[in-house]
Amino acid sequence: MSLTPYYEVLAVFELLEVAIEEALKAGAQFAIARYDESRRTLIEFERDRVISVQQPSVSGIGIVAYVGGFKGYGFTPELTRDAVREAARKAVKMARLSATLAKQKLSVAEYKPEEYKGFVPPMRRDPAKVELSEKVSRVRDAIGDALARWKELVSLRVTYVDLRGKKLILTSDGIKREWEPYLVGLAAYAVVRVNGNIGSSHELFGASRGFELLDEVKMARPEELIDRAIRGAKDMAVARRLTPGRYALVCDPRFAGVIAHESFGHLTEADYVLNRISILHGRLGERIGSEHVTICDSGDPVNFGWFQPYDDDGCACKTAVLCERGVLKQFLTTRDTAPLLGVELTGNARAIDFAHPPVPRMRNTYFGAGDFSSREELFELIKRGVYVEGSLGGQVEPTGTFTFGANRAYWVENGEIKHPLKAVNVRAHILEFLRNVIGATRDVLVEGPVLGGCGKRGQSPLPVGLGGPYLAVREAIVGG
Amino acid sequence: MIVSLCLSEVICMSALLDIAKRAITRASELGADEIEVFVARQHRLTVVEVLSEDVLVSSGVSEAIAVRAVVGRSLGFAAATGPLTEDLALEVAKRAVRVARAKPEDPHFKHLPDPRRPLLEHGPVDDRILSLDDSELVSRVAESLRRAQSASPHLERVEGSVERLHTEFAIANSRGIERVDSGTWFEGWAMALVKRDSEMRQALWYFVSRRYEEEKLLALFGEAAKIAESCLGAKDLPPDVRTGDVILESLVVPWIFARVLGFNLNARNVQEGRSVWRDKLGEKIASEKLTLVDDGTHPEGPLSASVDGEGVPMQRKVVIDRGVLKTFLYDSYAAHREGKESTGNAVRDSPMSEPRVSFTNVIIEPGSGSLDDLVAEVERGILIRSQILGAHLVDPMKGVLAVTCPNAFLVVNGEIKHPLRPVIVSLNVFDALRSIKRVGGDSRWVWAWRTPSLVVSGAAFA
Repeated sequence: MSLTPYYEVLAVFELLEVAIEEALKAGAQFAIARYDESRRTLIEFERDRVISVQQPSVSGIGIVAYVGGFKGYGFTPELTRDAVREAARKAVKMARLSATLAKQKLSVAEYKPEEYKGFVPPMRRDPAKVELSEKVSRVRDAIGDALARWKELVSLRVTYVDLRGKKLILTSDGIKREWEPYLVGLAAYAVVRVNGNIGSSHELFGASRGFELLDEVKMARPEELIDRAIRGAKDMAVARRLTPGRYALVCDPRFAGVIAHESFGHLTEADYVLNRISILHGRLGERIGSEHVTICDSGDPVNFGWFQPYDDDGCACKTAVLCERGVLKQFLTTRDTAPLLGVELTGNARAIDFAHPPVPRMRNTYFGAGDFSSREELFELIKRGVYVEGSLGGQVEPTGTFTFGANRAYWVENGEIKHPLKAVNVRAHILEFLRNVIGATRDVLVEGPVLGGCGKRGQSPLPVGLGGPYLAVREAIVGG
Repeated sequence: MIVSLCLSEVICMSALLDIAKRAITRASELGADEIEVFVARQHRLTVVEVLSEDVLVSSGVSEAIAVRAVVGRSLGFAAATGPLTEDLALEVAKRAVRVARAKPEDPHFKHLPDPRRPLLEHGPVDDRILSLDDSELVSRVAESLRRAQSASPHLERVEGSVERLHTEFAIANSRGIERVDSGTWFEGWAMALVKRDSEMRQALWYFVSRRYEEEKLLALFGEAAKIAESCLGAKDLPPDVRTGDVILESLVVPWIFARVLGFNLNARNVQEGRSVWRDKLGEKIASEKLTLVDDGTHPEGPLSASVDGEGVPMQRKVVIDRGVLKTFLYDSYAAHREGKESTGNAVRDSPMSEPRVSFTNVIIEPGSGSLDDLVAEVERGILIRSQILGAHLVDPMKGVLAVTCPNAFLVVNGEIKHPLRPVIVSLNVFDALRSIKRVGGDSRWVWAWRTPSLVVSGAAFA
């Protein structure tokens, strides 16, 4: 089953046209029809044994219909005229039902089609065309090396992931888009025993690239990635406990990215702002962070992020500078939320698949560059404190207070790493955190998703990228 | 009102079975020794999503085909969403064969399950869910939202979703299993946020049913609002209360126990030596107050159906009888490894996922008394309602759990003293099972668990 070939693309566009016509005929003033297809490969290894291979594929058509300022959604997996007509009528019917309950009337922004102008990451070897056996052997060879070299290994789990997709979008005001998502990624989780002590650590790297990622990018090479997980686990096996308290902090790009996405990015999503769920409601133009804080959300993958040239409304994805040198500048909007907020349209409408309606979602969310040349310069800046690498996840409270566990943590003193720390959690209020940022490095690393992604309004996991530079923070609550 | 299937539905469902059967007849030309085809059609009849002032209603169909193919002693799995055709089934089957070839042989794999006669003819289907008018449903959601307004003077906003769902599936394998089934669901969740001065509190409420139960929908948003409202005026945990009894409202019980029980009762984990209870069959692993039954045939069970995810009849089995471990949970793979019969515990998380060993419906045998009665019996401790955060981080072999409880209350001498600011409760799940001192009589369905509220001793608070 190949991804939709050319002649089928034409046939699918015809179906989208049928859907739009039917929605307008049934009473919609505006409609968006979308064909959404994705194929994933997921290979899980336990040591060098393949324990699971999954290749789910999802495809179908969804229609958003707007009636009198309210919207409804209909969807079908059947690619026939009858099925899409029925889905279109359903969308209109559902819009009329939304109207009886909703208090907020939407209006759809005028939109003059623009083209995506950002970076198009290369894909030399299409993962859909690489044999399953090659994917297995490429990773298994690296695992074999690691098993031979590291006698301390108690357990090693490695997961290979790739994704290929197809999006065709048509709107009743004539926007027509066709583009293809792609992603390759790898994750490793190692448990080691060192002198009777157990330590564990995970490592992952994903990017919108072809299969060549695993050979051409050092951070993604299976050998390197598995090594990093094992070395990290060895550090954690000899980690010391930290007395909970307030400490200065240096975050690696991934930990910074998790904060940019989870603790800040969601607060800028137009639906949360409009419904006053976000504490940033009504605060555009206000200083919310130190001058070292710039946070962007973009469809441009920057370097190794997620490639998203167009959103699911068919709008070109623009780079939204959410916070510029500490000042709140923009929200993440869609065609039907930008006019209500009276702000610029950024192209952030996204759905996980055809069976779900697009809602305001992030793409690649990251802290912008600072002017320090290295991580070590930030270590000197904080003098003593905690350095955190990667995240194990956490939670954000409605007040804006967040808690995130670090994948690895180290004690830093006199400009250098002294020793690893056990199970560190970082807790702060997001605005206090942003005010306390005192420096960032010049190089920004943005990474794509591997396992999981973003979850919101019952739609999970949505692939997103995140990252940033290394970031120094004056203080945060750091606990064990 | 559970009705039998109407004729048109039976015809439609037999079309699903035909797709599965036709793909199976071509297994050998695909190079598979055995094959299993699962075909599902899910009608999301109405989904009403509420985000404060914003509402979005959706409706549609998704379809999926999932195939397991056996090559030698290797089992491959593949799945795709529809449209449901024989061609798609064959494409997916080819992929499953490729996957089977890419995986190493598994010496423990014997064969796919053989046909057995189901105890249930089909899963619960409610005519009211199928025939409900969308505008009636939406008007009841509106009424439920109004009730939230009157339940809490400080209501800032609500968020939630209500859905009616109908699923049909067919499963067949080359050893002769052929089954069609169908079911209906009615489900809703609500989150309410209240604000008084600078204090913000949030609470969750939830229901699931196989029938249309209007009262549950009408109460949905109001219950969330009531709990959130009752959490206003929260104080810090007094420094002298650092251990004590924990009263777990039914809604949070599965979050505490599901992962640890599910992992250690899984026969595959027993066979691999990973289960803490691998040599504890017939021994006491929990308080004698705890009897836990896994029942895939329960007439109200969210997971009830004639057969499990690989076509084996759903069954009722007592897993823990007054604290004593009676059985582990088996799929056909784990059962064949011990020369036993599957207990019907192969569960597909979604039509697109591979069956894995899991609980079907979990029923904790009720004791007596309401949540208030349980509170009245506790001398010193805390009551946890609505939701807990961080339970998924538990290591199921160690059982150490530290959860944040945003809806906790201080209980002294049988009375609720005041709500608490978010409390971290630490306990060991294995110890908690042994220290269940009271089982309430207020059973309700929390996803596929039918559980009353419980009182557990020996937790630490911070």
